[in-house]
Amino acid sequence: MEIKFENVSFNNVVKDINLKIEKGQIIGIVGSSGSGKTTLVEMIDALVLPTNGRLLVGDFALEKGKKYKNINELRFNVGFVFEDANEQIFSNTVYDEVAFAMRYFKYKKEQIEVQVKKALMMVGLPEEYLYKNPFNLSHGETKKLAIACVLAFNPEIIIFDEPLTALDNASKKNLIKIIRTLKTRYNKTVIIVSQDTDFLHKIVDKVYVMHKGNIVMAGNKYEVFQEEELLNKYDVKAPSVISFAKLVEKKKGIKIGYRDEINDLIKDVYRYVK
Amino acid sequence: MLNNISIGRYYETNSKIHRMNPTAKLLSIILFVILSLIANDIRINLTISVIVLLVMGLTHVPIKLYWKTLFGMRILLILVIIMNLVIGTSFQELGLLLLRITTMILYTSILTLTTPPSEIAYGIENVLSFLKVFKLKVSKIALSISLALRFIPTIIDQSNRILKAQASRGVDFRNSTFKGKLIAIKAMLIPLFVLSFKRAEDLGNAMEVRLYDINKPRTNYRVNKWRFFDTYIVFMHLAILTLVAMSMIV
Repeated sequence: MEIKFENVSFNNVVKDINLKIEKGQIIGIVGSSGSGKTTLVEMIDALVLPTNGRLLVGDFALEKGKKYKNINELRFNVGFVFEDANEQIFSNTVYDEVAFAMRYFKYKKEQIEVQVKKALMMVGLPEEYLYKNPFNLSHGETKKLAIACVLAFNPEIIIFDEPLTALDNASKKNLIKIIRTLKTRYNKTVIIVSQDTDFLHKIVDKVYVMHKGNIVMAGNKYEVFQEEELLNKYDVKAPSVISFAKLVEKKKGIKIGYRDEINDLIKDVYRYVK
Repeated sequence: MLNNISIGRYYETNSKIHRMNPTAKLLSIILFVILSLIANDIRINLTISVIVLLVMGLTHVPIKLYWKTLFGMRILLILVIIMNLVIGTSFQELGLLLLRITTMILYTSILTLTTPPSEIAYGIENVLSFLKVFKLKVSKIALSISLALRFIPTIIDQSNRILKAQASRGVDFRNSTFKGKLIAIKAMLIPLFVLSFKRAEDLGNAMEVRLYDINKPRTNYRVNKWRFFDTYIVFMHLAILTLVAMSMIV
């Protein structure tokens, strides 16, 4: 499923965006707070409609002021994990919570049970949790539950809005694993909105930097994250893996290449020291 | 859905009405409500509406916001019209009634538009202070009112976010049938209640760590001076009220 923005604006928050996101990519969107990142991704799920221009999600065209009776055809293909997971929980059991969306997306009963269990396993919630009350879960577990809710109905495009809040270290690693499998095994499009460039650098393919409603930088992650000074201008911190490599090059004149993971970088440094 | 609610929203500018003492404003509003309740003559009501328009002009608040408040009350107005048509009141009386209701709504919206919620609570505390004679804790009442007022915008924002979260899972309030709308409201209300309780608890803790004690005497960091203008406005209201009352009796 392809996403295409054609001169899309939303009030003064997002201004005149032209963008094309291809299937099977992991996209990162960074920017200082108030730069319009969340509004941009909310438009993909038709939670806000553009006030100007046209947005194509697959064959579904979104325009200003229209009413869409068949909106669930779009929402079935787009999953959205919100920043505050507590805001969506209202069922009595974890099972009902995860199954909630699937009932509206016309899943069969037997299918629902299989999918719910699969989704819980993927995010790392034990099966005993199925009949627990979701209001008694901790903050991090609630976040995992919210991710499971989206994974369960198997959308083509998955959007994560600030996925790292409330997750502990192990869960962060697990989330990275999940996102990678989503791309490699299931060929899904994943869009991540985050401030944490270290996290983004590990997994994304393409990065868009937003500033005051405009996309100011776009491209391959190595290209974008190298421009440290430009990033600073837009109030975005370059990933430490890259800034370390740049620092070494500047101080000692040694090139050690850009790595995705800090472990690979350490190996490189060790090799050089030896 | 909930973006266009402007009831209880404060609009910040610098005007004579903004600078008035909240107690004086509240007193004037009370006098005005009594006035429009007893005034039942088209000439008097038209004069009152002119006064309302004049005061609205003094506030420097864009007329759009007043219109929004009235528009938010449209269901009430429509209900009044339907009820009266059913009972069979004459069009003249109906017009007079509508005029009285609109002036009342507009005048009270002047208070909420020009006074921040905390100031309104301060005004209420002062106005109700005569209840101290009966050994009632007026500060408790004022505190709960100001907390309730303070949470209106927060809760509206939050319910918007919850509606979005549920919409992404297939129950959209805007684009659905009546049954779908009911489910969407249920899916919004439960998280809203839970989160409000949580928030109330957080607020209670935050107040306690800052050594808040309801039984201690409290000061106000805003010095609300009583100026000549305040006396003037309250006196004018009182004068108009007495005049109208006299003319009604005669």
